[in-house]
Amino acid sequence: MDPITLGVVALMGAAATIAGATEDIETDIGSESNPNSQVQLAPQMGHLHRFINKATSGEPVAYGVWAGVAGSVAYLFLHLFNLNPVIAIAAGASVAALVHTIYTVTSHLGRIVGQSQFGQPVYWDALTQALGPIAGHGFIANFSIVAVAYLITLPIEGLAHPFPLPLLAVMWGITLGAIGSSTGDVHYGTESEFQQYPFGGGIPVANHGDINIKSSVGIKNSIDVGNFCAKFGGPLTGICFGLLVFISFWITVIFGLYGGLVAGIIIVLILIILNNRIEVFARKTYGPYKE
Amino acid sequence: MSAAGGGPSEADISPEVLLALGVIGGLLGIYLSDINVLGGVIAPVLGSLGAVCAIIWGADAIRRVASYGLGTGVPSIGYMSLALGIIGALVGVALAATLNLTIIGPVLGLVAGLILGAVVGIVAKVIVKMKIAVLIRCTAEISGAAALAVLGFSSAIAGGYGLDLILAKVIAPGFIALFFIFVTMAIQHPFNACLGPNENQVRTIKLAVSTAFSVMTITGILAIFNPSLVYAGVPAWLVILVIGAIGWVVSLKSFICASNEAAAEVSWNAEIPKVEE
Repeated sequence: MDPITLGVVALMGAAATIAGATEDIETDIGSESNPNSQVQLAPQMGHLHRFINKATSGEPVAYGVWAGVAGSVAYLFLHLFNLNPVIAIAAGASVAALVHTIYTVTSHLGRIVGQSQFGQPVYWDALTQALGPIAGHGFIANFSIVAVAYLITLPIEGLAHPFPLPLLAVMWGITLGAIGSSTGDVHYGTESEFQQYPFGGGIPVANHGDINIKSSVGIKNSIDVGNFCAKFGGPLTGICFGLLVFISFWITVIFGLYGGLVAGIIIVLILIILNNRIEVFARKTYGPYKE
Repeated sequence: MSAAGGGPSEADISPEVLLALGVIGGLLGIYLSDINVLGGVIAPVLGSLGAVCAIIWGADAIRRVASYGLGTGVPSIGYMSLALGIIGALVGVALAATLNLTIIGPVLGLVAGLILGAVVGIVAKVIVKMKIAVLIRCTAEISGAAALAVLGFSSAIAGGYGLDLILAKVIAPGFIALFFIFVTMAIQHPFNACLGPNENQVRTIKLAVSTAFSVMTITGILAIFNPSLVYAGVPAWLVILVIGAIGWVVSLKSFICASNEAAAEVSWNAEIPKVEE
């Protein structure tokens, strides 16, 4: 076990945690991926809303693009100008933030105007006030994920990945988007959008689009969603992605290749049992269905 | 207008016109990317513009097939077709290099992309039994457009469409992965973003022009990787970047204006929507 490698792996885990948390909060502010279908259907159900409808593909493709742009530009600055890695990655993430912001505007406008026969207005104030938080969270997520990709390429024992940075950035961006889409979205989707329905019953098709558009005071907007998700869904996604990155490298650093495989299987089994216990506990304690 | 939920889409611009734009514009741009006029500064711009034409064609093909109600499958068919298109493009230039006939590379790439797309379309229709009338044609078209788009942007960075150039300047640094995912986004985003009962082809195509120029702008930055193309102190990457950015801003402005015109209402006030009672 090389302590420097272990330190780098810990740093990767920390960066991945930040990337996961900010990615989830950003996509929740934009109602991207799973909650997006419900925001899309809301006007047809009579709910005119002030949410951002950021249908920029699914999160995996979107973050593949943003991280790919950030990683490619960073690679350019690193190799041609020998720039400090932190500055090079920040420059890449800045260019990605610009692309991200413009795609946010076009997807929101496209989807809202595509629904105009239901009377859904384009609220430019709601869109512009959400652009800063979306670009900012996106920047942090892209910076962190490209940092993870860069750390993997460092020429130290156990890492030194042979793939170029742009390729790794795209792959890690897709992974980040997939984790963000599958983990944190539930907090916004089924819990926030459908908070008027009892917990544990699922969302019947008849209720699709019947989302809650009111906050505790006034009409809910996408910044409220960001604040809501920053308390649980975002950090949860961050911990999930951070643990995923950390454990997947940690087991091979500590136990070697084959020992790492065995340790990985044991960890997965423990997690399956823990997840089952937590879900059974939650449904028994809070769910509407009694035996 | 398009129903986006089961049926052929209505079109102000015929698919054949956009197909011709994509194929002729794409191939012309890629072939001209190899000419050495003004120190090779103009050629990469033409390669990029060829790729822009191909993306517009691909975005329209996505629109036609996705109007049958693909829904969340819009990005998926984009992803799949881009993978086929990239394989087709590389098969084309590699085969041309093997035959020592570099000149036929782009045409072979297009044909390989079309064939791969058609084969997958046939599998989806005959074996998976997807009931979409235009599936085979559109899958082939999207893959062909993807092949030309990737080849166009690659030739802009590499300064030509030869296999050696593309291997050294695009595949080895990993930019090919960015082109895969970014061209996927550029082709599928226009219809995916605009879908709904009030989707309109002209507005969607305006967005396709915008997404295509967004890739061209980023290609301009990445072309710094090939600093050999310079004329009178002006590098090729700067020309690609500036023309790409101008095209991006103009098309984006046009799309935003069209959206404001087609919107039910445009508001800058935090007013409460009226319906919910």
